[in-house]
Amino acid sequence: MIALSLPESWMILLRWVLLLGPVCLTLSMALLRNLSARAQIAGLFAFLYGVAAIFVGHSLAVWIGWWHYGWDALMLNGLPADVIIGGAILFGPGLYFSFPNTRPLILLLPIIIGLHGTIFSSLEPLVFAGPNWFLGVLFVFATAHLPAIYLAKWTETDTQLPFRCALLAIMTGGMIFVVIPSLIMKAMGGTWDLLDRPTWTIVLTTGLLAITSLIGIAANQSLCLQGQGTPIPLDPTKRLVTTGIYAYLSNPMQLSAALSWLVLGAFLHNIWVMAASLMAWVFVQGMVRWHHRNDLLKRFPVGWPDYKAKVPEWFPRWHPSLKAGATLHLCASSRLHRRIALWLGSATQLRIQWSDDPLPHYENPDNVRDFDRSCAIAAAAMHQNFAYALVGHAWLLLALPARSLSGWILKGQR
Amino acid sequence: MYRLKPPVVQLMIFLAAGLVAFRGYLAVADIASGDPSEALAFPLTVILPGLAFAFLALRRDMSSQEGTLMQLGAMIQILLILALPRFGLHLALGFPIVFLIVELVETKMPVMIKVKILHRLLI
Repeated sequence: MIALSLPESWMILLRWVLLLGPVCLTLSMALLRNLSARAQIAGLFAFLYGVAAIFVGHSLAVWIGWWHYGWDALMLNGLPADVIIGGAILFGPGLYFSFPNTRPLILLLPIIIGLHGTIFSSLEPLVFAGPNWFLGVLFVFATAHLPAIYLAKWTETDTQLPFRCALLAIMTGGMIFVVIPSLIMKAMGGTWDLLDRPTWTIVLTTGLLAITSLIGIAANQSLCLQGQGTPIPLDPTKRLVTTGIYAYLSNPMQLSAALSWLVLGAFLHNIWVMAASLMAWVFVQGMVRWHHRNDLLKRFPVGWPDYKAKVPEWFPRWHPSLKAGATLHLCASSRLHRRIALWLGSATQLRIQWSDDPLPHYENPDNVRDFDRSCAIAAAAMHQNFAYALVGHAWLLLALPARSLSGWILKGQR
Repeated sequence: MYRLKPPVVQLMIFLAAGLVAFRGYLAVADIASGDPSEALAFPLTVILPGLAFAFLALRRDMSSQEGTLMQLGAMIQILLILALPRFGLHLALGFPIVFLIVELVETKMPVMIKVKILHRLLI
């Protein structure tokens, strides 16, 4: 451990360097490497993920007592906003543009051990290290910096789509639930008194937020599975997605954000956080419609207007609007399958096909991915109504990653 | 292709440069009086918005008229952020309103008025 004792003026300079250094590094690397558009988008995603994850990670670190920051300038939740943004730039586009071919873990280990490990506790009054601070450093690197650089790498090479979508969902969640409400409360007043509320309101809010989040995550999942792209228009889907949650609602992610802010604002007794839902509407009117006209309408000149005419933006349909009929293959000799067929009798655009195969199978000509086993039943349930569509998506969110995970484990054992 | 008229961009660059210089002067004056807060905030509240402004000002030939109006709207919003530091965060949070205004201009404004405004601003 190096015990430095730097004068305060040096610390002010250090804080400048912590923001402007990464900015200069990123800009100079972008100019020197003559980056492709895809690499620039990769850098932007890494930065956005970093902002959300570093903010949440450092907030947790301050709350646990691993460290706290000095000075009062630009503080947000006890964190210096400029240092957080500088960190997101450095451990995102900065390092990725500088060392694009180096493995992220190899890139970050020397920084964890060499830089943080030696001088972190000598940076007062910028940061005051508390007990177990190195554990906090490891936590932030594992949850924020390492995934940010992987996200950039996978985005530029257009690989690992499910992981990219998962990281972008985490990023969006961090922004919606933590960063934007914190900024609003900094501007308009209010505090995060999460644990001072009665238990029943905490339980109720958690349940409601789980439902509102599910709407957004279901959209993310649909775009990933059936659109073969991410929810962010800069890395768009290759296909127009009209099934799943998108058969009920054309703006599920914006609705999810707006409802989440309403619930969170009511829980925090903060009218300004609730008012952010109005900003979600403004965003749709201003930015999303522009994207629809200039991107979706041009890429899907036939499918998009037809879809838009049938599916509402904000208030979901109770029954889905589906163009093509899907088929659920069930086993004729199974009593359970016969019950499922009876239950799905009134489902929209769903045909039951009986076979000898004991495993259910679901196929839809508007999808690129079919489903089998329990996922086939979940996909078929999405033809019933909006509530069952959410339940179906919730099941897919659990079952598909679990199936992939078990597949990897079995592959590893072989 | 669409772009902002050069005198419009030049006027805005002049205003932005003046505001950056003025905020720099305020930061130095505060340091001289023993308060480092303005100097600490300078990179995030002045240099970064200044860089974003420069990026927008240097953009040429947008593929749509709306894109050019969004460029103009964002540049005006950054000028306001630089000019009104006390409301910088409020203005940054209100960025979607810029895009709503552009959308309203594009879709709701009477064509006669829209054409006159665009004729003065865009090439």
